[in-house]
Amino acid sequence: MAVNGKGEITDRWLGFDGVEAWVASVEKARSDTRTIAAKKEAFAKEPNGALAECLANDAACVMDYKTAVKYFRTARDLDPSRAAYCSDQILSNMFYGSRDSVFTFDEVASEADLALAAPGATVDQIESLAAMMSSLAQSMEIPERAAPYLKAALDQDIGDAEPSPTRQGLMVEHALLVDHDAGKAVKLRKGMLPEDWQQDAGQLNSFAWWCFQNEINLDEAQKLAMQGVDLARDDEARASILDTAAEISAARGQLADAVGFAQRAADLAPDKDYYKEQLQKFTAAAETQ
Amino acid sequence: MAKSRPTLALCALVLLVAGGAQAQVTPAESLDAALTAAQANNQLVIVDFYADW
Repeated sequence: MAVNGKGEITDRWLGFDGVEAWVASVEKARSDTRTIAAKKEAFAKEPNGALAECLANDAACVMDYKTAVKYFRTARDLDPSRAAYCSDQILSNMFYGSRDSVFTFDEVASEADLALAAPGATVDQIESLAAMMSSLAQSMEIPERAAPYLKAALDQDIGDAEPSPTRQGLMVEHALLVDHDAGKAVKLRKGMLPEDWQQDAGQLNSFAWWCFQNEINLDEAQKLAMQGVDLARDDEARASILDTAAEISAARGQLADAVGFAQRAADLAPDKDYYKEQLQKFTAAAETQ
Repeated sequence: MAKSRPTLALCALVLLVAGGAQAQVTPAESLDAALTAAQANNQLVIVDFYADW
């Protein structure tokens, strides 16, 4: 945030990618030291791309995503040389805004489709876009809408290069959401884990939890979670894995086991209300079974 | 697996920006000191917020 001697905001922005980007942001702030209020007035009289970008960033800083997108769109129209940056910012702001229901999936998708069709889009950009759209589709419980983005990303030829972690994640999601092949997804997901993952309680817990969330491979997930319980370094970690084991047991219809694991978790972490609530949830389910 | 609650650590770095063609950036002792200097010399104060969790 840049302020003048009176403490009035003249510019503000979110994050920066490296030293050069930070310097560029500061230089931009120095190039126009009018207050945000003055810049709004100037924009109303005579709009230009630089002012639109400044006001867009100002809106994004206070999570006013709708206004940020409006100004970034104006900036893109007024200064085509900034189109790539503005398009990227429009998508990011729409993504964050969609989590607060400011934008619908269709609105985000129309902008994402423009980005996909843009000449010069790199494999990294398309993969990031696919990851974002897949995450959004799943959070909105319309996982099928992720399919075209997953396909577009995986259709990109990377030659003999090692798939990036993002691409590996997309391959797992493609197997789950497009191929509907749980076995393939499990194999790909295991391929993303470090070599010694079966000796690491945290990795075992993460993998078991992923299985639970996707309702696949629950028998093996249960065994691996119990392995994690044995390997856990302290009571806090052990309680977390026991909670995973309880959820998996419940998902497998073994509610008595779920209650037992939840009780152990609650005993190990008596200060955590979450485990008490989980115990109540599984106990109630077991009583009505 | 209980969702861990993120602990947000927020701190601010106050910098005084001066100079002509090329900016000279100096750390300020406090926001008040930076504002006083900025007002006297028509400079800008950059407040850089860092968040970590």
